[in-house]
Amino acid sequence: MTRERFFQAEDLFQDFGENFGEDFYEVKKEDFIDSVSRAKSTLEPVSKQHSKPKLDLSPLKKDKLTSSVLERFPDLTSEDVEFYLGFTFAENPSCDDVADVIEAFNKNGLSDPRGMGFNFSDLESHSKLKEKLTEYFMLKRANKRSLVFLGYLSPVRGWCTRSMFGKPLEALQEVHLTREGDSSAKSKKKNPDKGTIVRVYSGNPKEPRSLREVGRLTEEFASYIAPLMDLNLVVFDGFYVYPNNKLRMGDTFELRIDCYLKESLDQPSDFASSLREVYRKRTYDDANHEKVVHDRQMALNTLLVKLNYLKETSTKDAFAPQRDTHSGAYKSELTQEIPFGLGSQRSQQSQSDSQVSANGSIDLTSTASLRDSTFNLNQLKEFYRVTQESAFGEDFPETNPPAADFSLELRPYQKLGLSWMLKREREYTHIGSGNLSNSQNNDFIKELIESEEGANNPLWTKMEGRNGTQPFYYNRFSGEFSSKKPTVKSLCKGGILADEMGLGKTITTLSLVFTVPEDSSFDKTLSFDKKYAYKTTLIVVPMSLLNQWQNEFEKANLREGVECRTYYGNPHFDLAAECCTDQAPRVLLTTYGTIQSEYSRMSRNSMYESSLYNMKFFRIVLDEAHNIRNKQTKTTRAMNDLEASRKWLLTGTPVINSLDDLYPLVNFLNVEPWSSYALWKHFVKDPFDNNKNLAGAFSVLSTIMEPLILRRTKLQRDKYGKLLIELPEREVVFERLYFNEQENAMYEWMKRRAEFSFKENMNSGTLMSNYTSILTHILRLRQVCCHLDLIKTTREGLVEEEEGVMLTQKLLMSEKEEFETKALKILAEEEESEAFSLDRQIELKSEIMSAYPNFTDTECSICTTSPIDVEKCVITECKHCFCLECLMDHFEFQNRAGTTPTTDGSEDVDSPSLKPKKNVQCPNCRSVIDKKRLFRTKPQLGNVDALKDGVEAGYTLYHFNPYGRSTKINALIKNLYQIREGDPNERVVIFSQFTSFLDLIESELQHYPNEFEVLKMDGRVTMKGRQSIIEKFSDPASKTKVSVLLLSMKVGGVGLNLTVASKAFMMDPWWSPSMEDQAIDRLHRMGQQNNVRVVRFIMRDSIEERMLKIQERKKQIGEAVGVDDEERRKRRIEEIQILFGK
Amino acid sequence: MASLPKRIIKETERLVSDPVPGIKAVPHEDNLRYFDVLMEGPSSSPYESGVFKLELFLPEDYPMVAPKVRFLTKIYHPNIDRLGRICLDVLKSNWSPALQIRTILLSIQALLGAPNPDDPLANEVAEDWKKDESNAIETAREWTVRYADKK
Repeated sequence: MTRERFFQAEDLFQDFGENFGEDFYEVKKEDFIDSVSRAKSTLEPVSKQHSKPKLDLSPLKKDKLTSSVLERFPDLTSEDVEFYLGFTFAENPSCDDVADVIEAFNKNGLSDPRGMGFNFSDLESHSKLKEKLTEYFMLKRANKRSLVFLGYLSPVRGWCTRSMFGKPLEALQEVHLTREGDSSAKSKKKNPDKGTIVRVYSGNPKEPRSLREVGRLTEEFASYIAPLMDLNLVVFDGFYVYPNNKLRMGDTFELRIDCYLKESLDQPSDFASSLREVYRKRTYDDANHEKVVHDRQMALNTLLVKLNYLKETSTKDAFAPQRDTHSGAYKSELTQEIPFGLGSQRSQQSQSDSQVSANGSIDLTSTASLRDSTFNLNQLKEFYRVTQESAFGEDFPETNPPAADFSLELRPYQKLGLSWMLKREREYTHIGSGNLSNSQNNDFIKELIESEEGANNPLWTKMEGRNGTQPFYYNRFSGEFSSKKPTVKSLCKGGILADEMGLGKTITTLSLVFTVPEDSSFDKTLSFDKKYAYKTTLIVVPMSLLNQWQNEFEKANLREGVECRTYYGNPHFDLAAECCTDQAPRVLLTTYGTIQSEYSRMSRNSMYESSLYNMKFFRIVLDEAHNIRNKQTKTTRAMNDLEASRKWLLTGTPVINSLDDLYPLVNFLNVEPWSSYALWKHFVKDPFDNNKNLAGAFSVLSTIMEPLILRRTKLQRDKYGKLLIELPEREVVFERLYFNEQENAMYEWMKRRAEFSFKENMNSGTLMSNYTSILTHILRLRQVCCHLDLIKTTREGLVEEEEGVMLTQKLLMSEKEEFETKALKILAEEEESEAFSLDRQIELKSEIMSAYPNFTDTECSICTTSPIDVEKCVITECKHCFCLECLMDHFEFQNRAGTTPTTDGSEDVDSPSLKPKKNVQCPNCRSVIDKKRLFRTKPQLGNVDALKDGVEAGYTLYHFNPYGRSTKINALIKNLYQIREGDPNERVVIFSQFTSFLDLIESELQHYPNEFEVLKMDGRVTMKGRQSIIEKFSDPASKTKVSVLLLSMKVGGVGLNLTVASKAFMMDPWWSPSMEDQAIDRLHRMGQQNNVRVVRFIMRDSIEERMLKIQERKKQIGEAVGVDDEERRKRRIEEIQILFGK
Repeated sequence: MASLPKRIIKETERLVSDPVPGIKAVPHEDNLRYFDVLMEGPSSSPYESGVFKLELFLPEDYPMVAPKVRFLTKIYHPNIDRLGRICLDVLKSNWSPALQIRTILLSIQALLGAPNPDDPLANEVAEDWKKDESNAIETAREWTVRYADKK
């Protein structure tokens, strides 16, 4: 199209004018305009229609024409030809082949198309025209040198609002664009909503009288020009172009508009601050300011698209899931738009908000019942889904760590993880090493670097300057400009590796450390920064994992001299001196505690010089990074103040309570601008807290996190559709046990008390205030389920859960104790009365002794074991021997069946027996036997004084106490025996949350020193102790004893790797099912070779069964977080109702 | 299924190595708790000439609970119903864990030799038996010839 071409061609001329000569200013403007207008006058207007003449010049045809013309005129450049073709077609749109073009050229005086005194053969004059045109606009621009020239828009169409009298407007005559109404309207009340009217005036704006309204811009242009003018962002210089005859009302005319940025580039109002500004102002005029930012950004974006700086992107694209990571920068550009694409958010708001959807699949509040909870599992799932999606493109290469240094073989997804980590660290040259051929790799890297680095900060886009303007940078998401390359603050090196537990984050991280062990860009000969530990990666881990990291490092390391040291925080130890040398350890391990104490010491004593804080590390890795999820804790602050070039966070559970947990992580990684909490609060926290515009907040969050986080789950499949990890199966079996009589009596008694107290509190409405006392009741009941002895004690740390309860509980304990011990005593007395008299005992003992001089001939008729182990033997009143376990089972079955052996076998086959409990009979002779009237035997010990009668027989008889152990311990021991029968070398883990219960189990198991090796680990065990326990437990030497590890739920919940064991017992249920899963995952994780079998002991018809119900409920509604305390309490009370309610 | 208790293994071994005369019990290969039993009718009983098929299953809780036994071969007997279910005290309330597969099978065999029409399971058969014992015995014999395998 003619005029467009005309000015595009002019643009080409700028090449010539790159260097502004001083003489530039000497060019006389009048002369120039003169010549141009003469040139213009030769252009006959093609038509007076309002629409421009359309020319369907296909690119192909254009190329063909151009090349033909070039053949004829070899001196011309293709740009020149295009320039002239433009003219030609403007005048003769019908010409469509070379002949026509040539003819047209000739007809119009090819030699001098605009009568400007030059012809085609005279290239000198040709370039002179170019120069002149250039100079003309340069001159115009010269007046505005303080402004940044953005480019020009052409053609801009307007329509004439009043017929022109007098002289027609001249080509390139300046016109004035304004948003003001015409002067006659000034006195009238201004219409506040001017719409998007942009008026075009001719005349000199400095002399208002000379101004004449020519017309208005059409909506197409006014729509984005008007806001820019309103916002005072851009200065528009208009030049009249076409047509060159008199305009009549309604005629279309065309302008060229030069655009200048009004703001200076040199004081880049950084995006964060401007948004902060918005945030601050928000309180006054929320919507309006948000709108200002939005309008500014939208208008500028449109302008920059029109000026060909930016590609046009539809909103739809922006929301579409991005799979192509190669164009990473572009992608984040698009997705980054979401946070600020307030427009799109608004449109979403108007949709029904239960179905708000960013990319059509986020169904945040799918059911009405879940609507209230500000953060539910669906959201978490969705969040994880989004973060997972960000993973990789198809051909993202795997990276092998250097084989000479690193001994461990990575799994494919770990190699991908390594590649991703390298990408995040911008160590492109390492990516794909050991997997791609060199050339392949180089191509890939080149591509990657282009995509990653080419656009630098993904928020900012580099704009090539036009017409001599320096390149500048534009942030399309905030609508800001900068002349400097925006600092890469937000492109922190590092990220969050959030692979699910058991996927080997430790190994992946170590492989990174070994692949890029030091800062290669650091030149210590040049640097004065001596405190840079450029070769050291600081790894901060929870105490319990210290040794595991150390071990993994040793396993992985193949090179001598490469070290992993542990820092325990010695104030006299100069860490910097140690680490800032060539001999620096590759890895420095330390704990959160160490750093935090050093931090506190430093903040207490300003004189204290912490070497940890006086140096900068090459890399910092925080393991179990959810440790810093609370932004206010000392630990978090201590971590944030550490300095490093690269920062990594490892956590399997980046979100624990609410999405707000992510803020400290983002802050630690210095992800600008989100490190500003105000911003975070505004864009993420508040929407979630207030349940307002969740979808918007969600997409903001996703886009922040997407590039930062890598998360894979065990269930994920690789590109070949294989599971990332094929773990052996895992089986969780519930073993529901019956209370024995004593336990049952105690439980029922306690339950009545609890129910009474609960009902009373419910009725009087004091449930909330007596909440803790209720909890204590519940605790008591749970303890009875485990072992009666548990309620006797007031030991501290009895329960690790429910910290807040502890104190109150202790207070309550003192008075309670009396009741409970009393109850126990009563039970004991009852028991006594039913047992034998002493005389009867002595009598029986001698009878037994004579019946069984030894045990070699005994056989347990129940399990057919023969002879019966003296340790396990139990003898009835009728003098029959059985294994203890077998006979106890018999009692249990008989009691449960409720039937006593009757002589009439005439019952109906199918009818269940409802007969009341009666006596249990001896399996052998059917005489009545009683649990409390049994004897046990034990081998004769050297020192005998108790029972003379037993001496000769080589064993001792003693009265059996049937309730000495709890039902659960009995069941456990029985299970352990079964396991031992299967494989005496087996390892078993036993979980309980009551450390005192673990103590009881321990002492009970110690009665079987030949069968079981008992180890115990709870919170009281020191780090060193833990290490040796684990070592002992996993000692591969074959044994004849089953190794049993007693583990308190809390210690066992984190970090530990217990894959050597494949069998576990959970002695009691936990409130939260996820904690239990975590515990099981200690065994069921990478490295596990066998099927994992977990047995969970649950007392029938007890509070434990109800706790399982609550677990189910929790699984369904998800852990409600973000709810306030009150809400949480209410929920708890509902749970208590489940516990007690009928 | 949990591993097989030692007792079951022992019993099975003994059943094979030291079989009860006139009774053969073989565990299924795929389920060692399930036995195919062949039982000869006791001599001087109407079942004398036949070999009866039974199935025997050891429940999870065995030996705390009795095994489940059932005749597969049709048999005319007052304590055995049409479905082959057996009315025998030791199989129900009088079960004791000291009893074994062997003893149970012997008890059943004894039951064939000594029908007890006063504690019937198959009422019609019991009626017949009580009304006209010789006729009932004849029917039992016929059934044995008709349904049971030959010795």
